[in-house]
Amino acid sequence: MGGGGGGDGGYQARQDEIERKKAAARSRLNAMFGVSTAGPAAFSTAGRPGFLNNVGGEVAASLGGSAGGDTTGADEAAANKAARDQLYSQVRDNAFTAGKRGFDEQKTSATRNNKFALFANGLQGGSVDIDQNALLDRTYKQGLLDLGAKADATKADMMGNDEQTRLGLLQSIDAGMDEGSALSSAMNQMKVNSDRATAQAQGTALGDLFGNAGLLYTKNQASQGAQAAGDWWKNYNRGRSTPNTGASGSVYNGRI
Amino acid sequence: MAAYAPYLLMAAGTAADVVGQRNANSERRDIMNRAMEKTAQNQDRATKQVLAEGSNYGTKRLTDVATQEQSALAQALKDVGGGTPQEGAGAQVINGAGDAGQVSGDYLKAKADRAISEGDRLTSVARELAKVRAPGQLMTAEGMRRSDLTEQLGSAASTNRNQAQAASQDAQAVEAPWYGQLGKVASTIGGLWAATGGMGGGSKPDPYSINPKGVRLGDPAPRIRF
Repeated sequence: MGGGGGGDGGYQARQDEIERKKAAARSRLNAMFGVSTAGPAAFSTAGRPGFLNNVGGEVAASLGGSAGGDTTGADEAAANKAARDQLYSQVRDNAFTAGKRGFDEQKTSATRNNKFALFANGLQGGSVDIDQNALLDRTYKQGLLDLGAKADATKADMMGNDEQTRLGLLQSIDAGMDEGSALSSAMNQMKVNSDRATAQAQGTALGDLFGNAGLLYTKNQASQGAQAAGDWWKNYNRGRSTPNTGASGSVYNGRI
Repeated sequence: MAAYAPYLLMAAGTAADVVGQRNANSERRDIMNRAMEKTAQNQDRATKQVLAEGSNYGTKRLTDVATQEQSALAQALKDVGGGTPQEGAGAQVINGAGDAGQVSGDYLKAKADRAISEGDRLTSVARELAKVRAPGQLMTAEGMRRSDLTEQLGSAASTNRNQAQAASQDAQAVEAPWYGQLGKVASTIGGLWAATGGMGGGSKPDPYSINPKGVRLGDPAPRIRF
């Protein structure tokens, strides 16, 4: 006896075809983002350890077809991954260099001021000279470490945004966005993320670290400032029968 | 023998109908079972993926953190001008204000000592910072990996659901086979045949007959005998 009649499995065949197309679109999109669905060999786990193969490939395999996980797709994914890694590295370098440029100028200025202060105090060639310059260098290196952290954050931000974009687009494919629209949207969003990262890279400044480092010239400047304030205060109160203490706030109103 | 023909036809038709229905039901069950099998395979695959992700949080995590620390330390040393995680930053260059002039040997010795100690300090600071930063960097990578996994599982679930719906529709669309439908028709015909006593085998009903004795309208009234 044969089986039942009618019911030719048409719905499943059509659904399988839809899923196969979705898997192919997912595979292509992943390849654009440097994620291979062909196998772990084509996808380096250096940046993201333990990343799993995309399930699209497995769905395609279960459907008896290929989700674009062919050699060409793997090559494309590998090339895109290399390009993206280079881009992330470049964004980090840009962020670091942009911050370092201003910081180097600050260091040059601080070194000069420090040298003047050492000479002015007759402390050159002594232990204070070594202490002061060691402190200057220490402050500079600490600043570079902080800059590195900021640059890392910029890079991580961009990577996170790209990953968010990829996952959002994969969801869109599942929800029914066609392959062409998904790829177009991916390109646009990647560009937006890249521009944003580049813009952020310009803003990795540290402020004046040397000003608060306790270097000799800043101490001199501080003492000079205190001296100037004291002189002004004495001059302000000169000739008064009841000198203004400024502490109560009742007489001194802040106007100079 | 001819008198049994309608009953035979009815019985054969009913049997064919029953077998047809049974086979159709079997076909429906097969479709749903295949779908369930596919769902079970996808579920197994998803479970494996989740367990593989979970395995990253055991003892391997210690190794991952250590690897990330080395990476962060190497990057930090590169940022400050060189050195390797194994050898450290090395002695730092200290440019004294009095270097250009006459300086004592003690000064040079103190400066050299300080260059080494500052290098050690810098290496130590970079290592501490790497220890602080590595967990965060690792968690960022893990977060992206988990997002990827979640999306994959969601996609697989969506595929599963769609395929299950398609299988259900296919199962609903299964019809009885041709012999079942033929049997149903044969059974109906047999039933009608049996009800009329068999084709050509019974007397035609007389539209005028009003009683079993064949008294007709217009006949003289029967005599009543007492």
